[in-house]
Amino acid sequence: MFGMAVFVLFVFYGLLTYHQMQVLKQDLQTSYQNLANDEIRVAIDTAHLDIKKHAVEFASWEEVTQQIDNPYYYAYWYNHRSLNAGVVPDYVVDVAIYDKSGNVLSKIASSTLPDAVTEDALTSYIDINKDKVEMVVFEKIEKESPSGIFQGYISMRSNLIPELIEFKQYNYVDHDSIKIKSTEVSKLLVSDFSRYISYDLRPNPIVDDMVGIVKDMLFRMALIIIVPTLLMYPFVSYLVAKPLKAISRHIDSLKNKTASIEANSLAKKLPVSELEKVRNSLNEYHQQLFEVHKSLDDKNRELWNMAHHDPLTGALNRRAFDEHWRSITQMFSGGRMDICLAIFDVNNFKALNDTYGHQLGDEVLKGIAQSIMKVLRKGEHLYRLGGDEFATVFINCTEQEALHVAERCHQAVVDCPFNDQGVLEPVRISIGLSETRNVPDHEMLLALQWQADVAMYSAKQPGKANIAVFSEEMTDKIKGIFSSWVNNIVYEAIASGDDIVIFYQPIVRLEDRVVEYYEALVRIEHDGKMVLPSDVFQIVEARSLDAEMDIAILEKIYHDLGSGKIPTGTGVSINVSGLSIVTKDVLEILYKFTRFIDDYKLVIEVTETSLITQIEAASKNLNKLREKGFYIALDDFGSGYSSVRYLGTMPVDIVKFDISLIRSLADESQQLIVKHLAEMIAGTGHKLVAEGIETEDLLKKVNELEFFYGQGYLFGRPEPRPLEQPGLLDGTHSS
Amino acid sequence: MSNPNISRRYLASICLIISALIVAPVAAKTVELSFDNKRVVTAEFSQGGAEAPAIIILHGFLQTREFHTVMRIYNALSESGYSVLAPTLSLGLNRRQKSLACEAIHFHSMETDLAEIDLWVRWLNKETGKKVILLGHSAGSVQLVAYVDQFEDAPVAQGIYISLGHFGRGIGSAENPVDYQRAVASIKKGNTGLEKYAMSYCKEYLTTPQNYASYYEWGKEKILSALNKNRIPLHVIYGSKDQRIDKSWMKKIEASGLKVISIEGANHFFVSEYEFDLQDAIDNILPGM
Repeated sequence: MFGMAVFVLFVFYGLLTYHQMQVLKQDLQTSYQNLANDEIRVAIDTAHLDIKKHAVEFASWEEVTQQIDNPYYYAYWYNHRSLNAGVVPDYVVDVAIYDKSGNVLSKIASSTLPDAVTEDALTSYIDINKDKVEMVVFEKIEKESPSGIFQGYISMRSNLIPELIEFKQYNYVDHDSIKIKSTEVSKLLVSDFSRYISYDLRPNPIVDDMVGIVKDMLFRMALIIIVPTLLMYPFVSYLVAKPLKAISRHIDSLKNKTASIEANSLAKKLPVSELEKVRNSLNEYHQQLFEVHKSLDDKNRELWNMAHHDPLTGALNRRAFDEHWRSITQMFSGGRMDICLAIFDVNNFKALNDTYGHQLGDEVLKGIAQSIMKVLRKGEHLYRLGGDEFATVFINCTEQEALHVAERCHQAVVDCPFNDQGVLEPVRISIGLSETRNVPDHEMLLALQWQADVAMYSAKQPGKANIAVFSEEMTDKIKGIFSSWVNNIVYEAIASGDDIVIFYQPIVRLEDRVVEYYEALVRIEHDGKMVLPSDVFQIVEARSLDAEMDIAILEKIYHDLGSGKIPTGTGVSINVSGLSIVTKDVLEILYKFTRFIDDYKLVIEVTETSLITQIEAASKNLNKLREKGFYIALDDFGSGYSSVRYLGTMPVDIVKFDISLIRSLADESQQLIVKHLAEMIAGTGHKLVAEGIETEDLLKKVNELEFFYGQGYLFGRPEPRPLEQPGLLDGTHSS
Repeated sequence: MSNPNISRRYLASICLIISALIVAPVAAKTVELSFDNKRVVTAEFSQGGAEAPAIIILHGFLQTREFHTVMRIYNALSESGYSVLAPTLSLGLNRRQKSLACEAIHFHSMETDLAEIDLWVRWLNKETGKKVILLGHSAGSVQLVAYVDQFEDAPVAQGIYISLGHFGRGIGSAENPVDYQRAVASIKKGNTGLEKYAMSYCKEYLTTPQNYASYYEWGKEKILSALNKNRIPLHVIYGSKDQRIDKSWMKKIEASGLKVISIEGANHFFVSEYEFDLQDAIDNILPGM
């Protein structure tokens, strides 16, 4: 390649140099031609002068005078003496003598000179007749004497070409080549004669030598380049090109993974040590690359496993399920296929967890997952969708086969010896099945999950056999909860935040009924239709969307605070789930709220139940929030376990008594318990909130107790725009 | 021992060279005279002192006064103070300056030449008031002999004839009796046209039979006859190595009683060192001033 480039470069350079040389030669030739033209003109002038000089000499010849004095023998003299006496040079071909009147002394038949001349017509001229070019000149005959006596005229005809050829000073004209262009021209002026002459230029030795030198140089350079190149080609080919090709082939084979590291093609030692080094480096590099690849593959597999497996149960996780479902959707959309989806849910797992603690709950989940995986067939995988919910997908499986597998799964769980782990109650799972057959409808595939959910919910219903296959009838019964419309709206609202509307219900100080702060209550409104909060939270809880939902709500509240929607000097109480309180993203958003701490009272409401599950991490985060100025409220106190022990350890500032406790004030027997409970908790420094105050009677009773705040329709319903002054409304609904 | 003659010649040569270098050039002029109202004839004239003898020097056949032998004698005599006239015979050419080629048309004759000589002799005589010493070279000597013979009243004092030759038949001459007979025949026929002859050193000589005969008739006998008239003192000078003049002619001259001076080793033109010997001889002949 390099050789070819050098060759091409050389050819280009050679042609360029040759071209330049030709241009230079042409220029010199033109200059040479001009000089030659000048030279010819000088030669003609010189010849003219020379002929004139001879004409003068002839005119002064005494025999000419003799002929004038005695022209009697002029014809004889003309024929025998005029040109033969050595007075005129050989190129003079004719002469004539004229008397004072200009008449020739005697007419000579053979003479080509004029028979008469006049004083005013003595200009020299040139006759061209075929190959003969003759110059005719005239002179006066004036005898040399002090008086210069005029005696007559002479004319002289001279052959011009020999005179031109004999011109001694030709440097540019090849004198032997001087010729006449025109065949017949008469009485041509001497000054015009050069135009009728053709001639060749003399060889220009400088230019010719220079061109020769350049040609010779180019030829030698060509030899210098081509010959060594040809000689060296096999050697270079053996030393470099061949090994490089071998290395290249080796690299190709490595790329195609068809060659081993020690490929036979490169097993031989290479002739150049550097290339041998390259070969070794290549092999070593490939070896290292191979090992890195292997390590990366291992890591990838490990990462994939970590990313796609639930570390607790060993089942595939929600991510793996989603990917698998997407691949199924893409793979089978438009094709004919049978797909069956089974969703497993542990019955009463929350209670189990609450009762035995989540550690044992985890062990239960682990045992359930392993039991199910044992009975699944080859190619069937178990996915943990979240919490106690599992799923598996049957492809090209009949409903009966799927149902049979589901029964085996259920039986496997039944047979699992959870008693050995201390669980006294029987652990059961509910299985919902949904299927689509030969319906290559994308929407149907998407609906399978919802249908399996519905079936699973149906299977949990009392009296069912814990296994249910989806049917249209189930839809009507649980439409409110599992409506795909509601599902979609909730999902969309969480994702975009567009349909989420925050309603604010005032919480007032009971002593003066001044709004201390507002509880932010989420509503989802889509196309003018309001989704019931109970439906929203069921879906959120069922889909484990707590954190995502809380984030969406927090963003809205944050915006309302920033826009001044909420009166300064009041505050906002925000419900945060137990799961969200230990979620980093939620905490970070909450930290952003600290910019409003000086103007607003910010309260985080958490439920007792949610705190219990992760008490340690939750307490830690709540303490951080308190340090930043947040108040922590324990919501729905009295609706669950209401453990006073836990209350003592929790970082809580405000305790909101559940509406059921407040309503129980109407009952005298219950009133006392609530009274003492309130006194006790208030006594520990907590401020108490009475929820659900809807009547003055109830308010009166609340006022008799240690409650500091009140909330309920009596003070104000939840409104999109916070009420600045609490009203005393009659209402029948609580928040 | 060195040859005393040779030593003398060398000495004379050196003296002449020195004198030529240091002596101021003699005033000379070209004299032009109209001859026969047809042409102008010219001569070189050097005026000598009032008492100086007048000498006319005549060139050879078809030559001019510029001929080296003639010109050297002219210069030497001029420098010696003689009044010297060196004409160029026109030979029919107006103001002739160059020797006339053999092949040219020759319109001149012995008669026209003698008439020109007479013109110049009389002009010199008139110019100097002295009788003229005639000094000729080669054919010029012949023409002077003829002049003295033909012009009895010519104011001449002496004749010095160098390399005196002759026309007509003889060794060293191109003329031959056949040509002459042809010329005589032509003359008898009244032919006046040009004919080709041989004359003197010219093998081709184009002239009329009359002109040719005028020269041819001045052969040995006619010259000896003229010389023997002894009208004026005569001296004849020869070069001993003259190839143009046969020895018999020299002997005839000597035998006629004329004063003959022979310069040993010189040729017809007295070239080289012999010109000094010639000059010495002339000096010895000429009267003193």
